[in-house]
Amino acid sequence: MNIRIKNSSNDPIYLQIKNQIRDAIINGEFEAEELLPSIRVLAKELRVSVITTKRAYDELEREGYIHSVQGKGSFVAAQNKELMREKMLKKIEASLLDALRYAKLAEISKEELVQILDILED
Amino acid sequence: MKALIYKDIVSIKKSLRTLALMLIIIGIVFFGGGLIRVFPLSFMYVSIILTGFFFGKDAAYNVEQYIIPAPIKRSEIVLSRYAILWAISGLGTLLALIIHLFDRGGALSIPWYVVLPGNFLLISLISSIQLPALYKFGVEKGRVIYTLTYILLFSGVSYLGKNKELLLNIVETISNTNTVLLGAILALLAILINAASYAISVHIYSSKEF
Amino acid sequence: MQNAIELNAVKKQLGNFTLGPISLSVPKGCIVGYIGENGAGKSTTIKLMLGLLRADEGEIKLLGNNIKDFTPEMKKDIGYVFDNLYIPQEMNLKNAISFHEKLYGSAWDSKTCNSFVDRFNLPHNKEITHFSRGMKMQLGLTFALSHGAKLLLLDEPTSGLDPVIRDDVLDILLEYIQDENNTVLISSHILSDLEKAADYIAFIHKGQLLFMEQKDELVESCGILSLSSEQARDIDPSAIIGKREHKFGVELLVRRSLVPENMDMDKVSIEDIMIYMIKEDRQ
Repeated sequence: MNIRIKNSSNDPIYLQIKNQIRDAIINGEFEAEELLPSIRVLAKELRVSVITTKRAYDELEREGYIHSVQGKGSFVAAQNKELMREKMLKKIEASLLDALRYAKLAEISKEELVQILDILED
Repeated sequence: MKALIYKDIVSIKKSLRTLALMLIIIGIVFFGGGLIRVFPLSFMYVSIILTGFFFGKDAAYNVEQYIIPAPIKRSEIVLSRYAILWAISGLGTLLALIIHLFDRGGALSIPWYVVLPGNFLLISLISSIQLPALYKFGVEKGRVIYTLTYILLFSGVSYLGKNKELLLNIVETISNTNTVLLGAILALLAILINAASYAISVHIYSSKEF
Repeated sequence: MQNAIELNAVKKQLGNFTLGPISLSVPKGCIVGYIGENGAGKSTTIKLMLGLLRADEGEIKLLGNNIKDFTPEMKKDIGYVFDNLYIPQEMNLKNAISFHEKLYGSAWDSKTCNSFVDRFNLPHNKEITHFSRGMKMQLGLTFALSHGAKLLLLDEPTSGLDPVIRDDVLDILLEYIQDENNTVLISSHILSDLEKAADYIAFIHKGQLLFMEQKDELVESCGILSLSSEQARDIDPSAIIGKREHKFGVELLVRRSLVPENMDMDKVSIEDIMIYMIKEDRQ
């Protein structure tokens, strides 16, 4: 797993870390129940505050991507494929809604939208 | 305390050689002048000089700021200085006893139980006045006291050197009095002065801020 | 015992300078950056914690114990580094190590000490007086870390050192903090060091503690607005922490929560916050 922190990003550092770990989990870079680096190791390697990494892990735990065992560390939660698909669908829907809204504002037709999608996919 | 004594010795190890050389020269001069019995008293210079060195080094490198937070009590920090003073006084006294053993006779027939506490008292006297002053006023102002005691000592010794009869008179008077009592008084005085000096130093040092 | 450091209404008068009353709690397992201008009271606070100065009022607890009741044994749990290594400079490395070995007795950890000496590549035969500033600091840090201290108090350890050495210090502190029982308080006016690794930032100004906050929250809760003078008038005054006016407009340090969300704000650094607050105080 690679984690890159951009200081220029508008996202707070904890969010950058959280998103990248989440993406890695979704992409299947981890086995289920794999032990993640401890918050202190992660903080040391990335040179960020322990509180920052803890917050990232806390959010990941709240969203069900990992679970923590007191004194043992944080583990990648087994991902329910069906659940994951549903989550992703919801995200896609939200993004598409946004796209539609912008399209309406700029008077871009549905055909053109589909064309953009095709181009983007390539 | 071991650590502090070690630190003190290491920090002045270069000066120690000079000091030893100085002592030998003084010893030869005293021997030549027929005053070898007074020679052990020059150890009081040694303790004065060493004390000056130690405090000077501590001040120059801000050492106290480093050792006060270290795992050692303030009273022990003070004690480490007195330990060195007492060791030097002991050494001087031992030397006096040895000279006493080999240099019997003449008008200087003082018994050992006067020689021992007498030397210890005299050798440690100036330093036991100087140490609390150094703790109280620091090295800078302490230097004035150092210079004063030095002048006092120097003039005292040279006065005695010029007036040998006076010295002999004193010795004579002493030998005619109750020497056991005298020895006891000197011993008591030596202990009292050193103990009081240590207690005062600890008291001063305990409330000191850095 | 949850707090490694607890200051309770601590006050100290030194000539014209008054420190405090300061109250401060540092949870264990974190790094606190103690920032402020020169003369703001950083060193005074650390000296109070180390018993070099005595508080006029209030109490100080380190690792759960009131420092007034500290025994030599308890002091072994505290490591400290100043802006210089205050031991006799005639000592060489061997002497200095031997001195600390005797000072710390059974708590002394030769292995750790040697590993740091090797890591820093410190010269064995030179007297400390011939060490560079950086080497002296590295040696000081070596000693502070070689007796199993649970709390490190560092007073401007990196002042006047080059960025590479400062960076190494950061690594070492982050390694030290891998043990969640260990805590670091580091004072500095070089903020870039602390910006990266500190969990909390405590800011002292003219003897008063202005805030002690989680660094992330602090940085996220503030923003910098660049506006024209007219626009600036519309901003809620209570949102403004500090401002810099120039010929072509105004830059405001603001609390994000009190400013309309759609405004375009720049991220702030700890340095920005410190500078804006100090300048605001001067006006």
